[in-house]
Amino acid sequence: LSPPPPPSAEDDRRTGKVNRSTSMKRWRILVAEDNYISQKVILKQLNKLGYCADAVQNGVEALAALDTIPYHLVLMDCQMPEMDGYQATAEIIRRQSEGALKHNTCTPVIAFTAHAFVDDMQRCKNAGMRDYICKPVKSEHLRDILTRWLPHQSCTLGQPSTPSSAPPPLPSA
Amino acid sequence: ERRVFSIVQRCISSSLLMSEVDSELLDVSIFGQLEELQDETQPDFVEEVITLYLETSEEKLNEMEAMLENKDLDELTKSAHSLKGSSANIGAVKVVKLCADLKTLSENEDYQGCKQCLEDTKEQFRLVKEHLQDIMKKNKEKRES
Repeated sequence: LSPPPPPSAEDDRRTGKVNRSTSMKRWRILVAEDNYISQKVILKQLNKLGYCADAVQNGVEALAALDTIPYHLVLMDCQMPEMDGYQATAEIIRRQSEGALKHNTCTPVIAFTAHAFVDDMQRCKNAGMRDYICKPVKSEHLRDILTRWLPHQSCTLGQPSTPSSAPPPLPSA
Repeated sequence: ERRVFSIVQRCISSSLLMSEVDSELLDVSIFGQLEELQDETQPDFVEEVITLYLETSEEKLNEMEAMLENKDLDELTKSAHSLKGSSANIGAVKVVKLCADLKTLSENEDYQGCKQCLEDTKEQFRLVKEHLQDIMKKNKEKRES
């Protein structure tokens, strides 16, 4: 399969308000984050690391984006208005299991959270998040997490993303 | 040659910027990362983030004042969460902690506690704001010299 086409104005219209980094790189990440400064910083980090990234502001917008645009990975803030990251992730997992997310059949969701307590980690795990990143995140650590979870075969959006080696499970409570 | 010169110039100005940071007010490692992100595609990235932070934070603090007056603690919690997130990106760790405390107090409906905590947050933000403005001013002077 060839890499996805660059995001278009039509994508923007379908997904509503989408903040887009200017890079047109190989991997495409969806960031769900309601804080505009956090968005600005993470998009810049992703861009510098070589990723293409779109940002939305809540779980509802994330679901709308995943419905129509193929992504390799989702970075999901846990606390957002309208629909938080836990609810959105649970819904993503549900739709994936029913085959309802045709463009994101196995796209992994990684928690992007301000919290690092064990209870929060358990909650992320219960919602179906595959890993977590505490913000603000160092670019090197961000790169390591993304490298672990992004597909290593040639760009095959919509196909299962298998980490290059089995990552450790999220810590249990 | 011009490109090499501009890279060198940027490296010098970056290290000069970092030397101005007061570690009592800003986490040097977090703030330093903003500098590392600045590049030729966004040469004013740090200034943009600082400016955005200062503008939005003033708004949030004013909002929280009004919410406390109106005893609208649900909205106060949301605003504290927002300011906490922004402050974390800048490295204003004491503001982050105060916002976290404010959220807890608000969720526990401790009105008096919220009032005191908000005052403390405003004071800490004032110190951070002065320092950030000082950093930007010194940075500008060095770039122009």
